[in-house]
Amino acid sequence: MNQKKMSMFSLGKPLSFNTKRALLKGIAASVIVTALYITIVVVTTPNLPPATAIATAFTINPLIIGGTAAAVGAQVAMTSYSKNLGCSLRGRKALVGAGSSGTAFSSFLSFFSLVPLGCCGSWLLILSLLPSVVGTSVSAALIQYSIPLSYAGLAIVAGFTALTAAKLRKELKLRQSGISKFKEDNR
Amino acid sequence: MPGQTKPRKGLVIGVSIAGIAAIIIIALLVGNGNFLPFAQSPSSDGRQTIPSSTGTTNSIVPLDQIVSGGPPRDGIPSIDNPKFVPAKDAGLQDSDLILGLNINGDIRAYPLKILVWHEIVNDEVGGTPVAVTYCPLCFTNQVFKRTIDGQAVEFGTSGKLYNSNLVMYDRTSESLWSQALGQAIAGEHSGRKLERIPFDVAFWSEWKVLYPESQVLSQDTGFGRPYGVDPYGNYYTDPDILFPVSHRDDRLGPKEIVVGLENEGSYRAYRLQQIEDSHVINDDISGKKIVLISLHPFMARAYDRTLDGQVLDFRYHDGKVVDTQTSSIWNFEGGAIEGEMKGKQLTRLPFDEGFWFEWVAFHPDTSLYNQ
Repeated sequence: MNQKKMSMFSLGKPLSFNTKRALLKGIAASVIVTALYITIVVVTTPNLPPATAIATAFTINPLIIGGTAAAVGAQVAMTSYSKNLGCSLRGRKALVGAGSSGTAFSSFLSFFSLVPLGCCGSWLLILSLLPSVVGTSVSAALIQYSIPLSYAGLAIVAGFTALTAAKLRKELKLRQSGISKFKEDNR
Repeated sequence: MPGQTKPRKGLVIGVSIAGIAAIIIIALLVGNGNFLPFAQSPSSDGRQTIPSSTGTTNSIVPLDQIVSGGPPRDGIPSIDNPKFVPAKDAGLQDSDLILGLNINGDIRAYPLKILVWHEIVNDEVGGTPVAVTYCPLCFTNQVFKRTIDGQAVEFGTSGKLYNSNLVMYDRTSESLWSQALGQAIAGEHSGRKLERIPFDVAFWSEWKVLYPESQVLSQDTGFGRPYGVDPYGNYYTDPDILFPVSHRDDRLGPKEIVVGLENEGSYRAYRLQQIEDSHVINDDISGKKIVLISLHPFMARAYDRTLDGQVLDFRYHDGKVVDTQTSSIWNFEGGAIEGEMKGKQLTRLPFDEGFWFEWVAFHPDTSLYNQ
């Protein structure tokens, strides 16, 4: 069978309207996630000039910031693309929900590393309040293992993004084979 | 199509949750946390939070350098009714660091793993009202006599920082006090200094052997905190600092622990490691003759080595501290235990102990011993 593979991107060809729209949405989502992260950093470290706070956050958590932004952006782009094509990714809501939860979890834990930016700073206060919400033992574990847990959260986000990509790919393959079959039947 | 709106809904919910969290944090900070119940209602000991009207007039430092750390006043709560347990019931690890205090034979240990969540303990030791303070960021431990004009006052955390160091406030006049300077930097008492009290920072393994009768600050503080973990993580051992400091000096690594002494406007820093290695250091700071002694890991003490008008020189010999003039043997408490001087007692001197970056930020003209 000499059929062209369907994908979001085809090298050497101009991007379709759907692809462009999906990409724009993905980039917008990445920017929003990064901006939200940065806003929280700036607001919770008032003792530092904003530029210093932002630079410091990128120094401490470059992977978390970049990774979550990229993963969320990719997920939004893919769901947008599939929606515009009329594909129905099974469990899409769960995927996006899990991805969003993973992003929030990963980001929240990564903020713990901002504690050393200020003696009696906002994050020391927030961590102080954790035991009343999740109990002393869970708080202790969250604080002690905040870095590996934040990376685990990032891995979850990336994992669900990969799952979304796999499902989209499968849907597109099914769709392509359906089109080919339709063409052959009508030949 | 309903099926197409589902994913968007999920994303919207996720982003909304994050947005709400951000708004709460912004409101918390912009509103100085005053709308939050914990900031306004009585604390567990019935104390009312003082309205935020701290007098920031009459400041001895530029007001724009006293910055908010984020939490409201008393957001990091001081311990005002400390409870103590005997050393054998303390449940500490040998490697835990404690701040040790001995006033008139009343010996107490304050684990840093508790202090890190409270930063100030208002206590009375040996009949003396004291404020035991700890700024984790600068690793500055300091004990002050909390008496102003003969009246005992309580200190709390102001939620503000000066030079990245804890700024306390007294609950009587609401003046702001720099922990590193031990001095009021704004408000009614601006410029006044608190009397420092000598203390030790020690490993629990050493302290419990030296002072088995010591009372230890209990984890039953009235506050639910995960005392077993340090929220600052590997900050203490990471060689870098992530925030700007007003004066940087590369003679030492920023987190090298130093002991700082002052006499008549002259400041001198000593590397704690050097004191530990030398065991005894005789020095002269603007005419004041001092000796630094370290016989146990992490523990260093400073004494005035002028006794009854005679200046003594000390050396470390065969595991003992000996004075050159009479060959008398002295113990870590600064007392002569053998020889001609037996029964004599050196006067212990308070000093600052903390990271180099903090000492040099507050005392940019400091000299460094042996440099």
